[in-house]
Amino acid sequence: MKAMRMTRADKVYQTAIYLIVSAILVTCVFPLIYVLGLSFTGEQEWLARGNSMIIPHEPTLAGYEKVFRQSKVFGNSLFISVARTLVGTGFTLSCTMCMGYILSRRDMPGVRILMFMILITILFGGGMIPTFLVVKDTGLMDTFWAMIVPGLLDSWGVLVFRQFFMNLPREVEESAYIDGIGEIGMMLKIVFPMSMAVLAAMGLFTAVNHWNAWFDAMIYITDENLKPLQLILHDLSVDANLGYSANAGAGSVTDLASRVSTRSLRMCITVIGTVPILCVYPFLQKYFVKGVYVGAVKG
Amino acid sequence: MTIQTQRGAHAQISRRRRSLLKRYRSLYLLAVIPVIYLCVYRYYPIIAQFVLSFKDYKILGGIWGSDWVGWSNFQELFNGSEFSRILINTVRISVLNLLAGFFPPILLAIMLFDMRSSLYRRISQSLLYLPHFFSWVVVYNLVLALFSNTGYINGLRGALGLDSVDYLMQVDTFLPLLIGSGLWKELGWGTIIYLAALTSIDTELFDVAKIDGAGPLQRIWYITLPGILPVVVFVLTMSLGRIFSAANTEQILLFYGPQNYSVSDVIGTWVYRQGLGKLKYSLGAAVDLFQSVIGLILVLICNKAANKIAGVGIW
Repeated sequence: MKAMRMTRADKVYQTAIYLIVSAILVTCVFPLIYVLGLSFTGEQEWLARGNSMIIPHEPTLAGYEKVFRQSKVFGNSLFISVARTLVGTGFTLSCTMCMGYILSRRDMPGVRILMFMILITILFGGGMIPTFLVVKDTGLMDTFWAMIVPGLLDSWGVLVFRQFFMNLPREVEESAYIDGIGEIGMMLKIVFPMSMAVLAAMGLFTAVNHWNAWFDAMIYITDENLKPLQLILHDLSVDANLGYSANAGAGSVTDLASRVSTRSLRMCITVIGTVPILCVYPFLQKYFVKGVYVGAVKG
Repeated sequence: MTIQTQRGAHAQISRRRRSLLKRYRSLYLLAVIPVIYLCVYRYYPIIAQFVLSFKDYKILGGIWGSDWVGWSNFQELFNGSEFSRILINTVRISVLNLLAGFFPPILLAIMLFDMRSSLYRRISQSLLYLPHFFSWVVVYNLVLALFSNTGYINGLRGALGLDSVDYLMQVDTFLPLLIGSGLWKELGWGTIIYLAALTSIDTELFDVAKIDGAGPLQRIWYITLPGILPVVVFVLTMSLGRIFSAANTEQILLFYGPQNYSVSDVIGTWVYRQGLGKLKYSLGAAVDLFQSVIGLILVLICNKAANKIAGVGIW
């Protein structure tokens, strides 16, 4: 295609594409750069220059210092977020993978009932309130496990794993059977090592979901010491918004000062909340463009 | 077939079944934990939702000890003044979300596909997919930074001598902010499914069309669009199945406030406030049940339709 000469219509079309896509890219990136800039802006400079500034003249780490040094809540929530991401991903991934493996053994008696059980959960859920009551009745309220156990099995993930395991070459499995390997050995020693790519992909997606989750914690957790980072950010943002309506027009100096400082606090935590995502993003990208078609459908 | 050989066949089948049961013994053990989990945290809530919807929940009685009240929860719901509001808002926000999630990704995918420079395309894709992986809390903070009282836009307005507008507090700016931020987050991600379909088009078709004198728009119309048509039809039909459920409760809980309930309050947020806020569990469960039953019917119909029209379905 490149070798061919471009007609005039082609040139116009190409120019239009570049202009439109570039405009979309700017819209996509600008909020991120603006907030990154704000997180490095000192309160004095912000007040002096107004809020239409983008790049700080005197970048400062004061905001981050404040977050890490003064706020005990923040350090705690960072720990909880990391812990829930690690523990939650470990549990969910191993359960989901085992279930996917079981469902891929199509000659196992009763496997169709299990498959049906998984499909039902995709179609129909118990809703917010009954799930809340079950979490409460099983004694998980206000514990770390309220953020782990309710999402133990990812039904879509089970189907993705199952599909992948069923497409593995049969010959390897058959020769392993002849060598007299058991089912667990087959799973752990033969099938899982051949599935590292899909394991890594699912692991990354699960980890991102855990890192980003806050709604479950908002419902199940009231103990400040157990709140994850995203929930702390949520609490700060909602307070900020309430603050506006409460003193609309009042604008006393102390209000302003405290608002400025929660603002910079929020901007810093927003940046910190996205850094892990940015770190794993290059690895994530490798997987979703290639294979996880189902993932794209599921949204 | 004689009775004798029939018996023999039966015996053979049950022998084989027994040997399979023995071979998979360890896997049955392994399935115990997931099955218990499914029963307790996935199936029990479904049953509890049905039961709660027809009971008057009292803390002392719990789900099973409270009194049956028949359809009275639903009567209270349908006669209530807020029901039509949350129903209309749910459908309105869902439809807007689905429209914003349908056309723009198709157009963007075609533009990305037609880009001459593959380097610029790859860079664009990397940046465009990124917002999908941010949490709603983070996105809400980006919106706050841009549109709040002290945000970027109001800074610009101030510099131009205009009064500041609190976009987050106004009724008429709620929907644009909500739909716009959803579009910002999911636009790039939405292109993946189309780009995957586009890579399977034979590129020679484009060259041949070009030699025949087809312009860029004609090539889109006659080659690109037919190439992704099955996927487009599939996405569209599945979207129709979600016209009752595409309003994102998590997102709306962040963006809304009492000042704009008239346009922002949907079934999910109402259940959250009534159920978990005011402890009206039965009423909340009844609305949830109402929504999920209608949602289920729509999804089943649309999946069937997608299978028939586009030849692809979820199952």
